[in-house]
Amino acid sequence: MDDQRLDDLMRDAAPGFREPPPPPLEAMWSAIEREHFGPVRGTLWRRWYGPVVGMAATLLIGIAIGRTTANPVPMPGDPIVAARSGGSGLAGALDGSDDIAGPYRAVTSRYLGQAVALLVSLPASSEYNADGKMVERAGELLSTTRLLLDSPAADDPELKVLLDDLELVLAQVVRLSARRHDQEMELITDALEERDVLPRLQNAVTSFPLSATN
Amino acid sequence: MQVALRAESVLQKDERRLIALVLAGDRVAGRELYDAHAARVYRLVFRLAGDEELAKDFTQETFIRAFGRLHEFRGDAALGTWLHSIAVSVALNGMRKQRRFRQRETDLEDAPDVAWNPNRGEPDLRARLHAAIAELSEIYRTVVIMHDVEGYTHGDIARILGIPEGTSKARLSAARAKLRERLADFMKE
Repeated sequence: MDDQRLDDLMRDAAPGFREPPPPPLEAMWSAIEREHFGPVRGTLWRRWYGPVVGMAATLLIGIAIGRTTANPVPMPGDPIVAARSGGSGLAGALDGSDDIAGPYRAVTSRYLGQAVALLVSLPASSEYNADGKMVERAGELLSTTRLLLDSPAADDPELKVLLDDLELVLAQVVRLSARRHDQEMELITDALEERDVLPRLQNAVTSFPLSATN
Repeated sequence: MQVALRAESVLQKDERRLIALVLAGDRVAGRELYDAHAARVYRLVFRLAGDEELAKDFTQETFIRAFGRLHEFRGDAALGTWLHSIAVSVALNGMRKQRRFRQRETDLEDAPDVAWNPNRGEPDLRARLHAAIAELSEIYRTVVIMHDVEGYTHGDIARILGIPEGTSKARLSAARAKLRERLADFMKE
């Protein structure tokens, strides 16, 4: 066999070598979290924890697709960066751009990823990080939610409704206080369940990167 | 190029922030770092191990070790490179342990012939290639998987394995020579 023929064979067939199955992200994270950060306690959130972690796995796949299909990387002038640094916001950052799909996709994908990461970790964070880091993170996400609501991202009616509901949930998380923790957590759980937020977020995560690729 | 470098700088800044938070015990930041890297780490260790349970164990071990040693991460290389370096080390050591364990088991039983047999019928060339890659010795197989299967550059491989870039190229070249040799009969048909 000559080099060229082997090169062709390697190019065609090597990527199929031991094709990996979808990674069991949540099962692995549970073990890692338990081992490194200590056990997760609390029961209030467990009834919706399962769906959330499934959604996070879907999200990762969605983000991966979105990031590999087009314009994946946030730029320094990117609205998410502006939002985090207290800049002038998403709408301003998108003004004058001929290509709204790229920034729109990158910012929203990233925002959704951070929202899921926060929601997945919320039970543990709320119990162990009494210093308010989790609340601070929710505050940042809440700002981004509001910027997205004022941006072309909200032109998608389904995404807009989802953002509205996430705004409500994140606002409740921001208001969490140690003193009335249990009551407030119950309110948040009720809001999530009544508005069916998590399944809709899951749908958005699954469909968003593809629908935004134009 | 300049845009790419700026983007990389933003990502690194964000990673540095997340690392600082993880060091302070922040689970959410830990989850964000995990989300950014876990799928790629899992892919690599699965390709190396060829077994779901082992890949799961190796990925977990990689992140547990990485979080435990995060204070040692100086940022000289990208976090991904550092993580993949731990992952390869965990996977190769884990597979050696597995092989020793299996060797003891096969010593006790009548072991089937697991050696590569050039006369054994293979369904097609693709399957033959995969079998030939799997039969390569560890140092060659690792480079083939990283370069030809997973698409790492020789620079990446050098940094991850801690070897000179030239050694990575030499290993790939030697590995391909072995594959050519093993596939020679089949290719004549």
